[in-house]
Amino acid sequence: MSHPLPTEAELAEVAEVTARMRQSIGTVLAGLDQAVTATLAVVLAEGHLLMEDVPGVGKTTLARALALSLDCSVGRLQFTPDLLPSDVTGVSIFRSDDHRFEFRPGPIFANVVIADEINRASPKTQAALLESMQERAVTVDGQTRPLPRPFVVVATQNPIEMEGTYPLPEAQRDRFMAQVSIGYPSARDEMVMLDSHDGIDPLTQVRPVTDTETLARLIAVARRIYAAPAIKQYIVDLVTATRHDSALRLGASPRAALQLLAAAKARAAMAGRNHVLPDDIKALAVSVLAHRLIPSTEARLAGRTPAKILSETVARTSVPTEARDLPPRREQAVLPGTRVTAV
Amino acid sequence: MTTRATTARSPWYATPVVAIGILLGLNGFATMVEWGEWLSTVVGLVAVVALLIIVTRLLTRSRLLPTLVGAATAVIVSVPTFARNEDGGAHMLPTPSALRDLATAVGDGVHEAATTVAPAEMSRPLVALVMVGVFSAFLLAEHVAVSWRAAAVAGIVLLAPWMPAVVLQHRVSTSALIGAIAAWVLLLALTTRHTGSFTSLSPWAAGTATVATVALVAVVAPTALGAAGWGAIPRFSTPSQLDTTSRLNLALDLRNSLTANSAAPKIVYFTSGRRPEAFRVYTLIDFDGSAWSRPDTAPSAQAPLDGGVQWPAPVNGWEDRELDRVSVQVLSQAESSLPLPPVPRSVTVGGDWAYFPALDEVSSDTTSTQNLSYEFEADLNYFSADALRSLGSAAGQDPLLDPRYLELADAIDVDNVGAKAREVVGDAPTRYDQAMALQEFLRDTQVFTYDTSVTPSGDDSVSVFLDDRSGYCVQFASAMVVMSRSLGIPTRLAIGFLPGERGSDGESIITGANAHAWPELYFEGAGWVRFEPTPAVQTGARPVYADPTNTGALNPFDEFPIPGQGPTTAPTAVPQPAEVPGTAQSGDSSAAPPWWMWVVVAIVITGLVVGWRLMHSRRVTAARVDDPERVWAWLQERLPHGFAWPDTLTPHESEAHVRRALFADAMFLSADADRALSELVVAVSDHRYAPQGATPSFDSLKDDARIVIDEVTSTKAPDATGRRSRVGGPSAPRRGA
Repeated sequence: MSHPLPTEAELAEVAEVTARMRQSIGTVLAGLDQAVTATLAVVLAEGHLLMEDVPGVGKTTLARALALSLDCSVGRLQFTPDLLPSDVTGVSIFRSDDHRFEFRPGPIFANVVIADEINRASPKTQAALLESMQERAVTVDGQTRPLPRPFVVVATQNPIEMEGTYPLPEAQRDRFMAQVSIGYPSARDEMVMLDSHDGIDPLTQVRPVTDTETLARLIAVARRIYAAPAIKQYIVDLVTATRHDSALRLGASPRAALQLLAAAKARAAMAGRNHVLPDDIKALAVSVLAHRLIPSTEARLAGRTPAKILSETVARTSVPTEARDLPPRREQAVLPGTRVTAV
Repeated sequence: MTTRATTARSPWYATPVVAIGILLGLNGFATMVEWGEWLSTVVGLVAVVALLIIVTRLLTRSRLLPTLVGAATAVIVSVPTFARNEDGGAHMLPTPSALRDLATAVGDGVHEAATTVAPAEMSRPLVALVMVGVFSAFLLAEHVAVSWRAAAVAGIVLLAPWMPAVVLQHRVSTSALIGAIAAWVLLLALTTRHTGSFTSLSPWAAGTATVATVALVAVVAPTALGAAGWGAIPRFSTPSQLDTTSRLNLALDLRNSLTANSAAPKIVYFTSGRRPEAFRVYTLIDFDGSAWSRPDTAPSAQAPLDGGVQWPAPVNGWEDRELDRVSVQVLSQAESSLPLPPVPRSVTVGGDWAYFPALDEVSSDTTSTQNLSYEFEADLNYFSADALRSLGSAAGQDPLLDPRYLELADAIDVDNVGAKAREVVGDAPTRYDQAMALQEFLRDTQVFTYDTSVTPSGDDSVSVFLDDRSGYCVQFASAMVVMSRSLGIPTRLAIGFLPGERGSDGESIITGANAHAWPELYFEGAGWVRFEPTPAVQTGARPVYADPTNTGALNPFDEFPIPGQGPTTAPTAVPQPAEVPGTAQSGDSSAAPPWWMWVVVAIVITGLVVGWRLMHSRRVTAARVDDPERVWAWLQERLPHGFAWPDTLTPHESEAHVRRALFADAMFLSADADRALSELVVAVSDHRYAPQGATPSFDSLKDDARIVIDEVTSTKAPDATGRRSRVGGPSAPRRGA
């Protein structure tokens, strides 16, 4: 193991900071434990989050509450059909005083980028955002500029059935680590909400609870969480099951497997644990995998959503007690970087 | 991953009980087969298969795998025991050709079972057939009872081998029957799921066992104990494989012979020329109006079979006549008289047989015709219409005959029948013409209907028949007997067989459906002459001499006279049985490896496996004495049904599952058990998923598991005071995710 395991102190810090963030977000939006957990896990895994839901349930509010809880730069993009790629990435303008071009960075140069209604923009503009999400860099005028770290995009979109939308292609949905749906609040939570929004906007009350450096440290800690071979086996079992499910036209990609592991590590870190449990995988599987799956026509007509199909897959997949699909010993013995000359 | 481990290990110790139950079931065939050495082969092979199933069950928790292993083993051990190539050599390995030969052996067994008479001597193919049945029943019952713990259902399979005894109302060994029932009840007890205390049967299982035992005893026991069986049990027509010895019913209810067992071959014969028109077995004289009976005492006059002609009247020039030679092999028909054509003939038969001229029967007090082979030469053209017409007047005096041949019982309405007879014969001048008139009257399908469903009724069945005009051969024949007796013609009834179907190899086959009865009229100087009043639908054509349309050219039964085979050619050989069972079996045992070799092999394999497991477990014990996985699996296995968690749950979810299952019964774990359960969950979770798990001692984990099991099982069962719930302390805080 190249990375040392996180220490107890480090883990305690992760748990403590994320608890504060959770509390901070909770002052704005009540009763969203699942969505907030997935959101924080994505942030700790330095992934990108897609929030899909009907208008008015608090997608943007959650994104803004998250951004406000962090003492970091926040970019805000309101996607419209006439938004251009340069409006996202920035543009080089000519400075007449010293006769040269100067790059004016776009809103994407920020730690947390809130991309509102991403499916209202034209595919060209969507592509510009999604490319930079994957590469964590922007190339303008032949010059590649790295984006600040940590870099987290929180995109919101309306369900594709709504009018005036350009649905995200599968390849681009795959870039998002997780998709969360907020859903309508319960009657009690809605009462609390009406109460707290009475008079003042609770967003103005949100104060940052952590800063960029801390967040970067937490992200580094989450990466070092231990995942046992049995855990990796479990992930492989799950994604393999989605690929062989007759109800699904498209299964989960290898990238999905990687991101599921990263998110599970983040969740374990939030719980102050130094190792991943299958419970982490189960809690995050639907959020991380469902938006990448395409159901078959029969399944769609039968009203089976990918999330439902995935829940069934999870419910019937055995939790491994040990790894079965380990690579053969010889392959294992070859260390990375060692050249194998003889065959 | 569909065949992944089930939740609990199968009760492997129930497998031998199933084997014993199935083997005891062989007693159901007791009257149909001959016991012999083959029994040890069956027991040995079943023991080998059972042993390997047990070993597999010890190694895996799969439900299907042990049965598959058992089936494969069954084939593998059957190949050297039963499969033979064309040269009779044994196969050692289950190659494709060996499997083909095995299938051939079983197919031969089916054929033999269909043609052999009970009790069958067990040849190799028959044993192979029995083995197929035993293996199938054993594997099925074992799978149902042990893999799925459905011993009650398996009882149906265990019951199956007893069915022949039930259906055929045979005696079976009472102790074997009780043993089989005991095996089944034991099976029910052994395969019950744990409900905490080990010895208590669940009420469901106990109830089923009781009901099933009562049912089994009620159905089988009366037969086993020698009672006449249940009159209410319908007599099924048995398939030909289960066919057993049969007899013509002398009380003359031939219907059973005509309908039941009708397809089973009873007699096979070869003839050098024509076929006899009928085979008579018994002659009956006394008729009380509704039933025929045999005289209690055998006629005293008898003659040895000395190669001469057997016929009650003198036969002139026997040696010069055209004789047809017929070889007969009787299969499952056990009679005390030989089936012989009602014409002059000379019988050659081994054993204690004698000729009784009064009844014109060749019979024996000591032996039966079952499995008997004999030959006779007969003059099938002995009678002719012209000769018969010239013999005797219409109501001649036959001073030498017993008056019983003219006797009409008091129950018979003689006036009515006699009037009818006189009306039919009119002014026929001779006895022959009178007989022909009666025969043609009864054969008229415009008037009479052939129907085997008619039940003879009344004291005067002949009058009823003449009114209803519907019946089968017995009614037709009895009617003609009574009518001709009323005309003063000595008449008697003969029962036997029609000549049957021609087989493909030139043989003729008489089945149960060929059973028949006909009247025989006395002609002074010629003897007893058969007439055929039953319509052609059953009997075919009339006898040559009694056919008003026939010019007397050919015997109508011989559609295809065999050319080139004159009446004096050498007799056709008696058909040999396909195989002489005794010799075949002894030949086999020398070629095949003895069955005990397989037992030795199985024991060696078992020893190796057990040794390997012991070594392995010792190594495990040394290296991973604190393995929480084992304790976890043990806990999962021992928890009552409904508490054990499926494999799709994580340890923490499993903990919640147990708590939820308790909560559904409004119960909680005591603080102690709660702590123990949480400790176990953390231990197994850490062991599986943490970088370096905590190492609690194996004993403490095992103690924890025991606390949880005791708590759950005792809470589940109502306690002594009848209270269902036992509320413990507050739950320990949940840990982990």
